[in-house]
Amino acid sequence: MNGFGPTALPAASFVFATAQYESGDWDSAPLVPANVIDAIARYTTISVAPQGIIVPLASEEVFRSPLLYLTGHLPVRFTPKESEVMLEYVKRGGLLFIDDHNHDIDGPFHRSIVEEIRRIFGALVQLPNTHELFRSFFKFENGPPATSHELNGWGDNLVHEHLMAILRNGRIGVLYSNKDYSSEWSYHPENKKFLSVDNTKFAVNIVVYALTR
Amino acid sequence: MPLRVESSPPSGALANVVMRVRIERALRLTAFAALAVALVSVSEALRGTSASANAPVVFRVDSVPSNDSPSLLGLINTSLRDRGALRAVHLAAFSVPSDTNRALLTAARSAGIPVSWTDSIKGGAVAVEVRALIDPKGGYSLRVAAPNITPVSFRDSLGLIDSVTTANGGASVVVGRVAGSVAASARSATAVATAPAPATIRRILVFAEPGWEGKFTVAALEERGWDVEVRYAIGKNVTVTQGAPVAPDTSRYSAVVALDSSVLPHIPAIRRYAQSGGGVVIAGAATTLREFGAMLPGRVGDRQPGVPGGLETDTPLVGLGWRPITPDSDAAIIARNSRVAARKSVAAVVARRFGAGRVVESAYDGVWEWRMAGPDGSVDAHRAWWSSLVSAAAYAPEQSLGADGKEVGQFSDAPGRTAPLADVMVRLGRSTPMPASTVQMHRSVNWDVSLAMLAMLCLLAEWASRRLRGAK
Repeated sequence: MNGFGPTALPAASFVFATAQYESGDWDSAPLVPANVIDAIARYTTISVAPQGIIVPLASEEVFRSPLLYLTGHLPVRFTPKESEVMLEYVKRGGLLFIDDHNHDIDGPFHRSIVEEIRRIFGALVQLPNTHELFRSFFKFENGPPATSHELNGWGDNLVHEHLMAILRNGRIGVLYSNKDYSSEWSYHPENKKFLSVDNTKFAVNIVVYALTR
Repeated sequence: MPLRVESSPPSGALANVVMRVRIERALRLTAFAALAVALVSVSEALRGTSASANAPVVFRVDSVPSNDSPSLLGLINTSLRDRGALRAVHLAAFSVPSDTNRALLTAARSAGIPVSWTDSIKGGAVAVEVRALIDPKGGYSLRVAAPNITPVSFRDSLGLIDSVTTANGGASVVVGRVAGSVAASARSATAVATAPAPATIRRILVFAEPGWEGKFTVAALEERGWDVEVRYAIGKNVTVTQGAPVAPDTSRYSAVVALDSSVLPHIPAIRRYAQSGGGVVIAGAATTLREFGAMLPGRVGDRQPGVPGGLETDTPLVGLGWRPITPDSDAAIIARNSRVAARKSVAAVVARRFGAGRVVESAYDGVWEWRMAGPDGSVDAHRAWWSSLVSAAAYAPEQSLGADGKEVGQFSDAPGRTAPLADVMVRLGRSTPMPASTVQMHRSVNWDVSLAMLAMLCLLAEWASRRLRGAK
């Protein structure tokens, strides 16, 4: 036990944390944490906790998880407390990874979350495909990898070429994707053996970036 | 002198003449009286000289020094002229003698002339030190030592910098810039120190595993202005770097920070770096690595959890996990953990010299929690904490070139200027009581000259008055 009390985990371990918010469907991609954890353990020596945790976005628990994963399909409206905590979290150096589970530029999640991010943090900027995020562990020469949903023409029938971000002190504070990685990574880790290319490698980059920058 | 009347002047003119004659008589009497007193004074001085031929000449330094304060050189000249020799000097110090007078007293002593002194100085003990901060933001630390509750003002060549009141024997202030020398004035004494050249700040090299401690340590140092290079051990034979880290070397790095066992392969190079003058910070889990051997300033005990809710208190470090350090005999304790302040044998941060370098060991781990989960202001406090640890160890030689590109000179302080009263004690030894028999040399000479001048002026005025009214 450390200074955080009974819920705390060893400080040296990386614990994958999913943000729980009051509006919308925060738990729409329940298999993603296990798959990301599997990728971290598979490719790195990072000490990673075998199970993820769920952190209420309005709680102080958020500050114990400097990387937070947030996703959903439905419209999002953060409460004042959630907005306040998110802003402080990013100011202090946390990284909030938000993924649109719809992969739809006109979808309710996309429209509402972009508005909420603008309200809380300011306007998102396009992350250049040469950003160090794309070479923090694996190299993605062409920027963010396309998802099978984009390639199959689902959702808005677009391949989104870039990720968006809010930058603080030269570091990514909010990383926003509407490429639908939540669908792409939502399968049991055991099934990776059926893939010719592991599509969770980019998740490793996000985690390594969060842990080192 | 009889009054001679040439004609019958009007009654008003006659009254003026009578008044003028009375004034002339008064001037004459004053002149004679002054001459008489001067003669008596000189004869007494001559008698005194013969009676106390070996008595010390007293040199008095008043409590309020001024530009016309007596110089010991004048006293020596007078003594040699009037007495033929300077046999002994006693300093009656009501304030600290000037640099020149201290040097002259030392010279007299070196020439075999007994020199003693009586300390009658109130609040004269003051010493000042000016240090360039080892911090990317630059700045200077002005430190003064003086008795408790003494108001001290700092000035440089541009005027007043700041004022403080001492506690526990001293006080300090941090300022961004100083111009020329810094004078610390406390009551009747002033100590002066020249600001050294700014420190040369080089990069910081951090060894860490990918994790929150490494990430936020690097962030804190970078946000404070340090140029940081990082080597993260992230996989089998995989290293993620920030910057272009190379083997530790004092020409490139001011300090190396080791946070965990990822530093293991680099310990031999770090040891050489420290021995050649580099600064090393060993913190958190890295303090348990026995491979550091004699570099570690102390031995850590078992890890103890932080106090729940401790981060929200006035002493947030108690909320962090730590390993109590038992310092080695030659280590200096920099900080204790307030939870166990009564246990003097353990510390939280210790330091020691290792070769030509310095090693700082910090017992705390998971310090990032302070930044993320602490109260308002903890981000700044976390930055300052890491910067202070690095500064305490860092290798930062003085710059040889100033901002204007010119070579920075060496210290120009006269000996003892930084602690003038201590300098008097070193030069003259312990204070002694005032001798029973002394010669008040410079005071009597001035008095005699004044009397003679007064007599001359009175006689001149009396003569001029007589001649102007037509008398002989």
